[in-house]
Amino acid sequence: MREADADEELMLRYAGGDARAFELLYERHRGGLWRFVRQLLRDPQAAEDAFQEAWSRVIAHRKRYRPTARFASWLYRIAHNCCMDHWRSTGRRRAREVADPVAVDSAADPAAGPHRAAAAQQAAQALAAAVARLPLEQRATFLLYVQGGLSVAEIADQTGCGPETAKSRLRYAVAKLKEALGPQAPADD
Amino acid sequence: MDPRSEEPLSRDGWRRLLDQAGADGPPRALDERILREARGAASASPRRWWLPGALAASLLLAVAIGLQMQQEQAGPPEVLSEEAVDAPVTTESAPAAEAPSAEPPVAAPLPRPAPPPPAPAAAPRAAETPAAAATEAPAARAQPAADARLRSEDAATLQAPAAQQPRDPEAWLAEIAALRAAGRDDEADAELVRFEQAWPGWLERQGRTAP
Repeated sequence: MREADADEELMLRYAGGDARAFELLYERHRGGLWRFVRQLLRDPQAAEDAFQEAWSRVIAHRKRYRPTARFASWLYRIAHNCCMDHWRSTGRRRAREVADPVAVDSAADPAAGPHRAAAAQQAAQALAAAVARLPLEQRATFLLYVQGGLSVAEIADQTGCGPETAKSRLRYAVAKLKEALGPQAPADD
Repeated sequence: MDPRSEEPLSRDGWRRLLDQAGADGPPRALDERILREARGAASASPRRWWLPGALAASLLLAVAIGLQMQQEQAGPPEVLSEEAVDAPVTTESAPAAEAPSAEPPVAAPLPRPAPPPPAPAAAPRAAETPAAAATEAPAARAQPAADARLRSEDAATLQAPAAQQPRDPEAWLAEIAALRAAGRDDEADAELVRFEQAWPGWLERQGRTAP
């Protein structure tokens, strides 16, 4: 099997009974999806549960998968749904608006970083902390856009808002992250 | 600008930073659980049994249809071979069976000491039921007159429901006369009663006397 096979083709092969195709898909997306749920939920145990549940749904729905959209979009939508299920089941959505103290502490003093670690790692930690401080809707929108690769329209559809609202949330999120990272923030181009 | 087509910012720089921030992946145990579940689902896929099952069913159906067609094609020659055996029985009734008519037949051969020419259509009907064949077997071993009567009766019994036509009166009277000649008067009388029921007033109209 070629490594460059498209995600969608691999998923169709898996639906046809090719377990190796799933292994390739999993290897490609496990890291990104893990970071997505980890940063969105900010609770390691909840992240594990959501991560496993997302892949279980992919496995369970393999026969119904149709390559009408990118596989990654489908995968991150499922993962987002799993996170939302977690919030509903725990009733802690509002509580989760409070920033993760561990993540915040790790970037509490960005200015002190260069003396202790590499600048890139410092910026990454600062970004993780800043993402953790974002309101839930902005955080989900930012992560779906950057990590999941969804378009604004897809995010609007997934989160149940209008495209303008999704776009506005994304802009607010990016503005806050830029403010938190300062000159370490990536360029927009 | 249409927000559906707009890309508000570049993803790559942000994604790289996010990847660095969370370089650790899921625990290996979690990987193993997910991959095990995926492999189990793939191995339990209906494809594994459905395809061979469908092929086997198709093959079985094709063989069954082939055998059925072979039997249907082989049927007529077998019937023809029986026809040669039963040809004498069907001589007088074959035309009636082929083309039923309201008019009684005008003439017919006498009881048959020798086999007349074969009649293709009636023999298969006589051979359709094993009971008819079993009835005919002992009749073939009887004396010539009784043999002729029994075989004629069998043929008449088999064809009566389909043709609804009385037997030929001349042949029937000849059989009755044969019964009397053999000293079987009771049977001859009973047969004569049936004849009168089938052909009322026929003897008077023909100026004949009862045998």
